[in-house]
Amino acid sequence: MKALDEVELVALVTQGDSRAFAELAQRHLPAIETYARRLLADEAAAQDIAQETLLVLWQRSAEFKPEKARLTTWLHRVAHNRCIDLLRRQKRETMMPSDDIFARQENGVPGGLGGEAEGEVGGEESDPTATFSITSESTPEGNRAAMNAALRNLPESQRTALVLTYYQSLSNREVATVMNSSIRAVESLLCRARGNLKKQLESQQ
Amino acid sequence: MSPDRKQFERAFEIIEAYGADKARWPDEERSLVELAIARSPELQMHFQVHKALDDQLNALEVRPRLNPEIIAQQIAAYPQRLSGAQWFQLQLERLTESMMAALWKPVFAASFVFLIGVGAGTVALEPVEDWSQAEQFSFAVIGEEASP
Repeated sequence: MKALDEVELVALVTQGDSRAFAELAQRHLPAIETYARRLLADEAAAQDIAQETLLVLWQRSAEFKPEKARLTTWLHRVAHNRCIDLLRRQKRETMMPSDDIFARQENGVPGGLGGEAEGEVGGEESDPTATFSITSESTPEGNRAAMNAALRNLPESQRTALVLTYYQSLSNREVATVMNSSIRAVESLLCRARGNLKKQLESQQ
Repeated sequence: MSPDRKQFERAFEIIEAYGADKARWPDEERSLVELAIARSPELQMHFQVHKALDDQLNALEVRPRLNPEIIAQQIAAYPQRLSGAQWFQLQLERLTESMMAALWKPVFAASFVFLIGVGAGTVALEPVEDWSQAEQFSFAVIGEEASP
């Protein structure tokens, strides 16, 4: 398919053009999947959400308003809402633990116990699986593991702001749109997120 | 606060929020931050600290696993029109979202004004009409109906 701009492709998708849809999937699915994986730290759930997001594009593309946001922002918002719903459901399950959740925790499967505190890092509800055991060795793998754990230990809103800005390369305005917040609030979340990461990494040295 | 101090503080905040990669800084403030860093050793140090954190963040790689072509084929097999249940669920979601996001403020404002009005009316109201005759009339009617 020749290089069409995204607005034209979305218009074709609205008319049921599966080639245009495949082209948009090629452009956006990897970013949405990695976003959900970074946010949820659960590969299977992230893949489900990425596919649901594409399904929304297929069935509700007419709702996309190009004058309001770029397609990537719209898709990130759709995925973000689903990720947040899932995280909140997991949090509720943590409050009312069932046998299934305990089983998942025992088996070390992500998505079990591991809700996140909205407050500071290391709160009572912080991810209990996030440890920094590898940082004493200064290997690249050790550093990566420590950073991964530190990221997972961040409160949900701070992690979202950081991932969207840092890894998804959205502008501050777009991050604010995805998070339904203001630019100022996003900047404040980013400051706190980076500060918390630094603190966690320093405490391991 | 002097303009230089303001500029310093804003540059400090931007590095703290967006890190040391200039591409992530807000477009309209990039040159301001660059200028402030060039002038201040303190900001240069702050910049280096955040550069180290950026390097660690850069080391985290997540590779997507889904094959977009296959997923697109599978999804395109779904009907584009929403089923009745999906449509109902969507409307419900929208209603909830709009109530949470937009509706609660005007509703709250209207109820607040209404309550203030009722409160003020209850305190300040003094009846000015004489209802005693109307009361007598209604009692008279009831009395007539009651008599055999």
